[in-house]
Amino acid sequence: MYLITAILSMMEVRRHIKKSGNFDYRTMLSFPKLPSVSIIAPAYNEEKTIIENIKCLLSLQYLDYEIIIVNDGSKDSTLATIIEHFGLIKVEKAYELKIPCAKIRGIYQSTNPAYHNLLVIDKENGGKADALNAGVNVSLKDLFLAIDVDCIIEPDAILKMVKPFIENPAYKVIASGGVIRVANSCEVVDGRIVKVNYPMNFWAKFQVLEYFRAFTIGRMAWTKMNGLLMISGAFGLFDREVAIKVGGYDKTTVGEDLELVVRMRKYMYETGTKHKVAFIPDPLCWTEVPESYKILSRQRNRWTRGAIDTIKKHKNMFLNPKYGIIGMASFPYWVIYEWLTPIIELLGIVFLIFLIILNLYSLKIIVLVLLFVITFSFLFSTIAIFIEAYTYYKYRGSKYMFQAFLFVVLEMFIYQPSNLYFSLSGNYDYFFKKNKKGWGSMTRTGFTSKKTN
Amino acid sequence: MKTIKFYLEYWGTRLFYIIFIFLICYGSYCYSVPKFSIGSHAFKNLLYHAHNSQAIWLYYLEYFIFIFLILTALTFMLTLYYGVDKRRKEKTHNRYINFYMSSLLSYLFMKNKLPEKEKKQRKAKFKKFVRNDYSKELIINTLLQIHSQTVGEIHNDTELILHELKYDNLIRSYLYSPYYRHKKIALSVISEFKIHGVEKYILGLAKRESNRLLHTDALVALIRLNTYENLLQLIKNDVNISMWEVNVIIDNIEKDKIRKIPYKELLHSNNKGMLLLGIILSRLHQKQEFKYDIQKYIEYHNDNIMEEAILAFASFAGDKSDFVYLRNSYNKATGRGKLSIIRTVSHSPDTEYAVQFLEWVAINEPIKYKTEALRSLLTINIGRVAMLKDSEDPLVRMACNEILDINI
Repeated sequence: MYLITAILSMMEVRRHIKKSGNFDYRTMLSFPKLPSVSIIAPAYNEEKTIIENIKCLLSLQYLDYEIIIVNDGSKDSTLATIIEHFGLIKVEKAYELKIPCAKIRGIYQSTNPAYHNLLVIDKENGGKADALNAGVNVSLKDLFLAIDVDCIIEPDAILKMVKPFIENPAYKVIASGGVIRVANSCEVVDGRIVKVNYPMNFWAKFQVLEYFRAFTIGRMAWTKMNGLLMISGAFGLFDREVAIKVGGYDKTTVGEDLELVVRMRKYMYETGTKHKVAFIPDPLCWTEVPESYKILSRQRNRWTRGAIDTIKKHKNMFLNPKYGIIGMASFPYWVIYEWLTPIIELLGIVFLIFLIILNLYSLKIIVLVLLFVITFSFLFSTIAIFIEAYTYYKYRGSKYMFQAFLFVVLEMFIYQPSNLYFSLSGNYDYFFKKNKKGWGSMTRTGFTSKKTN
Repeated sequence: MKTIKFYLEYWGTRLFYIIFIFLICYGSYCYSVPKFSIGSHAFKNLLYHAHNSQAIWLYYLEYFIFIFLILTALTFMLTLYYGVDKRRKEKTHNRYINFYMSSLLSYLFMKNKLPEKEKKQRKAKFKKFVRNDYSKELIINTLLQIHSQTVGEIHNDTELILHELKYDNLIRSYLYSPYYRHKKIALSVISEFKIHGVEKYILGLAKRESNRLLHTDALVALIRLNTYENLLQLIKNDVNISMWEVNVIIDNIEKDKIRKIPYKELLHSNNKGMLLLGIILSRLHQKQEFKYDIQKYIEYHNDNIMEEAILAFASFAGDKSDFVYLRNSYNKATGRGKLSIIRTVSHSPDTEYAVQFLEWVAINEPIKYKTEALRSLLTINIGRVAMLKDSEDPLVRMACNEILDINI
């Protein structure tokens, strides 16, 4: 399965580079017919970095777009900081509550024409999904881009993400995603990545490889088959009308990003509409990844719980031909590889120990099978690094290459077992600790951002 | 000759991959048997006795462990090599680009002041730096950049330089090459410098809808070479174009300020893409004479075409009957179409008619159209807006509050 995805993704990345490699996306700014976009960014206790983040969003290259910052009942001075810096005042903005959300206390807009496309919603705390729903309610644009407010977005990200929506004559594109890269240790100036560095943090180094594999190989392969189920919650562009029709984000799950895409796809199949979820292999968004074991475990635990929740809610899609490639391939893939694999691995280890105790084993076979898995894993990760170097070449220098390959080896013995533990604990928490529903705290260190004079 | 060389390279690379994969698969078989033959030669498997007592599937396991290790090492070395090679190429590329750009620009701007002897010396020096096809590509790209960003004498002189360099054969061989990158460069040059004689081949590329990579580039080249004739050819051949391609074509038409366009043929085409193109161009170029041709598409079953037809008709509206027709089409319209109707009807000479319509929208339509209708109504009859401010419908009150908020 992994070999097939590696081959398909290389074909799709190559095709994309050929098509769009030298294309100047800024020419799209003079197109007569482009969809309008709302960027919706929930913010909770972001007073330290919110101004820089908003400034980064205000400088994106697109004509008809607005930025909606949703202050989700922050306990610090996030709202006051934004109001003071951008000269916001409370306005009477009309909106319709098409998706239920927590009470909106007020909507703010700036009197400064330079910030005419900035809107801030102040609402009672309801969580990320609820905040996004509030943003969707207030937005009046054709598409909405759901982002994490502390992500760094490339200036031409919207142009690239919008392209699939107008380029496919045979399909209705309902969502598009882009590659997310690790921003830890990168040089950031005025809210822009100016130099990409391989992270210095031990755990972040592993995640760089993981993100290479997940985005460059995994998602590209599924895009080629039109079976993509996952658009990252940190950065995804959606058709607003379809999202409203399916009821917006589900507040009851922690995997709201995956769950929304599954529901949107399900809806399109049920209405008999030919559709596509697109993916752009260009690095468009940079995010900070957990740098400590504790935070990483919370994040992966949440991802596991989110995946199980989505699988449970939409279990009728499993091997159901009514849902096309999603029902027959993507969804079963998620069930087996994203949910059951850690359990199967654990059972395999237990069974092996059982065989050893009963002296019913062949050491040679065990060693050969282990070596097969390990060497395949090395090859797979090495291919992901090669694809990155061949295509975008963001990480430079032989020092990075040698480090990356060292971590390919270490990954098998440190990171993979840790991930296995996180997934298993996620399963345990989901089925046996019903009261564990939330995100947990995700401490971020923030980017070291320099300002130009 | 060059084209044949490209085809040999193209198929040679693919043949290499096929042979490579075949050798890996055949190798796995050879590893598992005591003897194997290649042609009439038999070979002994020297490693067979080391593991001849194990199950057959273990042979394959051992073999693939070995292959994975070799491939990992190869991929690692290839990655290192690519990294070093890419950095070297970037430096060379930048150096050459800077040299070509500065040489060409200084020649173009100083041409009239230079004596013939110096011109010849500069050309000779320039040609020394042109060693291979890669250098020629860089020069072509530089000339493309200068040509697209200049006007007047400099603009025309870049065309003369291209002809002087005699790269026509290279461009043609690139056009017929199996590599997409070559075709893309060739199409860019042909469309920018208006090189004729290859329209038939490019039309063939445009008709190959399965290859969307080339489709758009071919369409742009045809449009820029001879908009009128080639659009007629595209209509005749029923070439499908996407929304993206409609945008790209219009962008190029506006950039080149082309006005000789077969509007009538486009507006009577059965091809949705061409029809859409015709409607948008009619609106942008204010072709009022096609108002009633466009009117019939307001009831079209395709949302994009319907919307553009409404926008176009609304921009041409002048008689009272036009406004009535738009108002009656409102319920069938979507999105931008509805907004356009609201804004246009508000300019109707029959003010009372407009007010009634805008009030109806403010009361019955979703919030997006409510606010637009009230905004238009505010400019006609502020009293009516004041009455709606006390409406029982909270959404109407909210919309009124928004448009009356002087801070928005």
